[in-house]
Amino acid sequence: MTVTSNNLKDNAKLFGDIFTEAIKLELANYDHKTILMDLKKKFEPGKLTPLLTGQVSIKAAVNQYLTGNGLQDTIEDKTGIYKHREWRGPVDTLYDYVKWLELWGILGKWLLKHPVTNVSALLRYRWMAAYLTTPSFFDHNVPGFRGTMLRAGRMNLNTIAKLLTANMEDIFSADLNINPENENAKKYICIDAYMPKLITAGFSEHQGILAHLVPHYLPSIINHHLPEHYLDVTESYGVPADVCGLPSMESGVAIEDDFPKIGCCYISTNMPCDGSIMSSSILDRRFQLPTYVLNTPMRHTREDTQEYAIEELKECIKFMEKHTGETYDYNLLREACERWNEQNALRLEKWEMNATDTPPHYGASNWMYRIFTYQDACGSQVAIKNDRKVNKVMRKSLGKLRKYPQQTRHRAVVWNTVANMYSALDEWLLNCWGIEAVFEFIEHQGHRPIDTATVDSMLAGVAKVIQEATMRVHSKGGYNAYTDDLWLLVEQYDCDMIVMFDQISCKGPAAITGLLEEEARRRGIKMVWLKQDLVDARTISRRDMRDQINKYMEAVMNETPLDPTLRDFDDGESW
Amino acid sequence: MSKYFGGCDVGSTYGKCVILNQNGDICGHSIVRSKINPVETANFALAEAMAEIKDLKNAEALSYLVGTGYGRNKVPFADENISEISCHAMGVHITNAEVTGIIDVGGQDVKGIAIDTDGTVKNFAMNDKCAAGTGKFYEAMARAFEMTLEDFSKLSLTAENVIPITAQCTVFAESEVISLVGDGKPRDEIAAGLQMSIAKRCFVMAKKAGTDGLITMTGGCAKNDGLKQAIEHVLKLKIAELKTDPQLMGALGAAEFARQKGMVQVG
Repeated sequence: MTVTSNNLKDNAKLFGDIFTEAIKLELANYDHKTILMDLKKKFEPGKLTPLLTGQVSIKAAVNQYLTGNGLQDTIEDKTGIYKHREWRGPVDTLYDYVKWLELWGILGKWLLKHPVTNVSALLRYRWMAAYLTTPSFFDHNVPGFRGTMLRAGRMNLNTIAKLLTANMEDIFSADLNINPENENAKKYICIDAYMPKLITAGFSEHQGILAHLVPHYLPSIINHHLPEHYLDVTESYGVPADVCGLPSMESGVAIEDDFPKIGCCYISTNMPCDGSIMSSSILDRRFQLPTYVLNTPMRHTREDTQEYAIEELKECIKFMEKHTGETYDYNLLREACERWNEQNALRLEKWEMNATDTPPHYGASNWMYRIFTYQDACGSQVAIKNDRKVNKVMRKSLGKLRKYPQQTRHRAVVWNTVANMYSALDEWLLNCWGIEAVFEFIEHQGHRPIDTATVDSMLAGVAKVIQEATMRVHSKGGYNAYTDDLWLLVEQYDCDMIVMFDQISCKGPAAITGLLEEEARRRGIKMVWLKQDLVDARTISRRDMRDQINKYMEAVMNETPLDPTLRDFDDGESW
Repeated sequence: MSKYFGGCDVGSTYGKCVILNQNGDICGHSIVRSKINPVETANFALAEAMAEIKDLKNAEALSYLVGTGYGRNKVPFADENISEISCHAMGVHITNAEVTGIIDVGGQDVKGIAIDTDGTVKNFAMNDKCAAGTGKFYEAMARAFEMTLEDFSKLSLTAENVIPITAQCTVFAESEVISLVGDGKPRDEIAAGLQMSIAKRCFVMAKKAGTDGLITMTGGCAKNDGLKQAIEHVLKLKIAELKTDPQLMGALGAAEFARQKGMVQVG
């Protein structure tokens, strides 16, 4: 079989044929089981071989392994397309391949279940195209991985795919943009970007949906060029160009009417930054839903603000009850909180394991999973099941010689807002320079257990979860909420380095730059500042980001790359 | 036969080249305006520097050549390329070993560099995403004043007062300057305000890099007397003078690296 990127085109054609056929069958009112049976009849298994083998070329992969070339040699320049699957040794290659097939299974099952709806969504929403690249995107988040890192990484990524496809199924089934006569639309409560959906767990007939997650947050991570269009839309609308890219992109999605039209009401919050205040005003006008702004205390670390937080939460619940017409069931909330507690305990165990001398799993497949499960899948049985499995694998590896990474030089905390447009930065740091990014800023949301003894104690716990949500936990509560956690983690994880994101459109942290520098110097910690523009690769590209690290590692650390093929390469045209 | 070692610094606005002999003496040097193609800039700078040395016919005859600057990957015949941060540190170190901090104001970026006792880099901070406080900024301001760059750099020296410039951005600063000139404000005082705003920016870079002790300036803008005076005012200390042209520090450092590596190679 010939190698590989050419096969992508063949595969895409074959996939298109199957999909077109599936649509025809669905239009003929077939159910999905019948569709699958008919597809099996029409497409002989032999014809599906290229689709199943994908980019695998054993010959090329083994050659790469034997000749000892670097990781970048497996990838085409500029486009980032894999020339062939990576050879990781027989066991790990097989594991990786099986998980890759499993991912295709998850995606195929979802696509074929409701082909008409999904094609409609693909045609209706620009951001949907980004999800077509998911398999390759996942491959890019486990480069070089072996052993526990590979297993934990792949399990997390496939669980995200499972949860995400279920999420999409809910959204599109209720979306008035796709089906204007939809009765499901009112079954959902939309929630803003800075609040876990645990708050809606007390309803049995209604479900929370994170309005931002599917339309813009995840696509901005998957395809680093996608935000450009929405950023331009926002700027054309009259918003200044130097606003933080994430709320700017969110606004662009709203201005283009690219948010699914669902929900009986919208729960917003007092926002953690100026940019998000701007975007929430645009979203509010576009959604045209009854909105409740849940004001969470800014000084969330102070106990005397908690009474207010609980009262606000109660008011919010009353609002949701009014607009859903359903009574909030605290027993359901209790069950969800107990699941959340289990999930949290498993997360804390992961953190403990990663603080050892041989951290078993970290990087994009860890932090993306963390943010996804904290915000969207909090208390999800699917996520908990995966957490149990992953922790088991991680536990087994403790104290043993690691298969991967074999050579490391530094342990780092990566602090400040993660660059959506370069999710696989941690993997590059590890493979190119041997820097283990054992802890990511974005992982560090609230992690206290919720006391489920009484309704009040439970609400206090949920209120705390909201106050300690993504971004808010470190951007509010005084400057030391941002700095103290960093030094604590540096100590706990025994780090000798900090990779500090300098998000150029976020002016707030700039004020405490000097404090951080001085403290790092006092502690003898190497701090590398990494300029990035969150979702806008036009301002600072991935290559520019790598160049900043290269300069630091060469000029200050006097080191040479572990894998020279990764030092400088062009991935400007990749997704 | 003499052996020569070259350093070629392909910057965004100027290409610089320094050629050293075995003893580390500068035998040839050049500063040329950058062309659109960095390879051409490097060739031009190399040719100009080599023209000063009779027994050096071409770049291939150099025992070792190090490329640096933003176009360092494009230097023909280079044996190696090294980041301009390391090269500036080394260049300054061999010129004045007592200096421990550098403010490098180049054509399109500003850097603060802290140097260790052996000339290696302790830390650095840089701004290369904004033209404010760079040579490009000066070009824009000189244009707004309808003056040559050289005249503009001296304009602030005669000012009795400083008119604060609020805008940091090159584009906004230019329009602010035009308004002030239109209002009839003294030009030297406006220029002093500009120099002060850039000096503050340089101060931030130097502080971020953790520079302390004796500080010097490198890069083309180190020849700007007004900026030098403003930085001395902001830092409240005297900028250390370098006996070699500060614009050549990157190329000199690269040449020194070439000399050290070349001597080992040659034996």
